[in-house]
Parts: sequence; structure tokens; C-alpha cells
Amino acid sequence: MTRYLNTPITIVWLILAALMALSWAIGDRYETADVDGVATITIALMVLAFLKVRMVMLHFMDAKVAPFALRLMVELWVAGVCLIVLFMYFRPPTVG
Amino acid sequence: MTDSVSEKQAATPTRIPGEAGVWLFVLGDMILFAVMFGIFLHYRWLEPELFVQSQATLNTSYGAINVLLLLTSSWFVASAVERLKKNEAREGHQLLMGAFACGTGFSVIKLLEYSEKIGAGITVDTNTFYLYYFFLTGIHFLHVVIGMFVLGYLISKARTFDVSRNDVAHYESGGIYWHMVDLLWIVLFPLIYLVQ
Repeated sequence: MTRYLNTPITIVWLILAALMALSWAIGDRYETADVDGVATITIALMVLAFLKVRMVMLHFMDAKVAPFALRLMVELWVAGVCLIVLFMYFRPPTVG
Repeated sequence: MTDSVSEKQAATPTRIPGEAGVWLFVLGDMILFAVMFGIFLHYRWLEPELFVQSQATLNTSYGAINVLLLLTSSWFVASAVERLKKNEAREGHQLLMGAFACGTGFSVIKLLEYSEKIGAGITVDTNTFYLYYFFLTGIHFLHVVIGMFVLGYLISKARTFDVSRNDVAHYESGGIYWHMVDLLWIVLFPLIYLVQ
């Protein structure tokens, strides 16, 4: 059993599960947050989500050993989609 | 210092995990999902209050448990690939079965969630939020079902796996697809269930 537990994959899984619990706890803070607090929570939730995605891609999909071009595409997807999502959350509301 | 770092990097061989074709498919699919995230957020931008009110009716626990189930299934698949590389077919086979069990758990919770919504009279016609809720989670669920067929196929082959005769890249490729299913849910969970 220890051969399964004492592996880099298991450590990554533990970190991912802990980050997941953190996201869930942060999500609960919306109820008591003011306007600035809401924005901070939204940014924290999405950054945490894409951090988890990057960990899955690098360590589970093994993109950490991929050639430069593939690694670049992975990193660009994570950073690009995270930025687009955050931009769309904070676009000024429609007028009228 | 710089020399030792560059020597270390040069000494680390790079390789395409799995097969190149699966990366083409996975990255293409991920771009399509990114477009769907954008469409969801565009309609949210048009009707923010409706989206927040409708989102409040979702059961966050179902979404969160499903994140943990898919994360755990990813652990099973990645561990199975490690075992198969060491020619430990029996362990690899058992670990893949663990991943399949997690996928089944995800499916049961998803169907329970859908049945509760439909039982409460909520469908794709209810409003824009639910249209995209059913659309995004439904397309993702379709990926889970396809992934379970892939896992089922790999399970059927893993028992007799022999590293000298069989190519572990097939298992890596199946794993890469399954991990994509996992990471898409990692984004969909805050996007649909959490962010207000």
C-alpha cells in the first residue's frame, strides 16, 4: 500500500484535494463579502481553478516532460483562458 | 550555477506523453470548451442577476464531490500507467478499475442532480442560465461517458498487458483523455456552481 501512497502522483493528488477544499471554503465567503470582497473571491476561485488545471496537465498528463512546443500550448491555454475568464467576469455591465 | 541548471535541463529528455494524435484531439477539445466558457460568461454578463439567482438553486455539494471523484479517478489512472510501465499488469488492471468506479460515482451523482432539477420542473427552457447549465454539464457528461468506454476498453486489455509486447502509450493516451475530462470539470465547478 505504501508503494502507492509514497509517490509524486499521490502528493499531487493531496495538494489538488486540499486546493479543492480551499476553493469550496472560499466560495462560502460570498454571503458576507462586500463589493471588493466579491471581486477578490472571484479572482481567487478562478486562479485556484487554473492552478489545479496546470497541475493536472503537468503531473497527471505528464506535460512536464513534453517538448517545448507542446508545453507552450499547454501553458498558453491555462494562462490565456484564465485571463479571458477573469476579463469576462469584470467587464463593465451593459448600459441601458 | 547557470551552467549546472542548463546541463540539468539538457540531461532531462523530453518526449510526447502518449501519442501525438491524442494531444491534437485533447487541445482542440479544450479550445472548444474555452469558447463555451466564453459563451456562458457572455450571457452571464447580459443577465447577471438571473444567473446569480438561478445558480443559488444548484447543489454545490454535488459539484464538489464530483471534483473529488474525478481528481481521485485521475490519481487511479496516472498510478495505473506507472504500474504498467513497470510491467505490473495486475496492479495496473486494479487501479484502472478504481478509476472506472470513480467515473461511475460521478455519473450517479450527475444523474441524481439532473433528476432533482427536472423533478422540480427545471429544464433547458426555464431560463438562459439553466440552458447553459444543462448544455455545458451535459457536453461534459458526454465526455465522461466516452471516457468510461475508453477506460472499459483499457481495463479489458490491462489484465494481459506485457510491456515487451504491448505499447504503454495507448494507456497513456487514454489517461490523457481522462485527465482532460477531470480538468474541464475543475473549471466548470467554480464557473457554474461557485462564482457569484
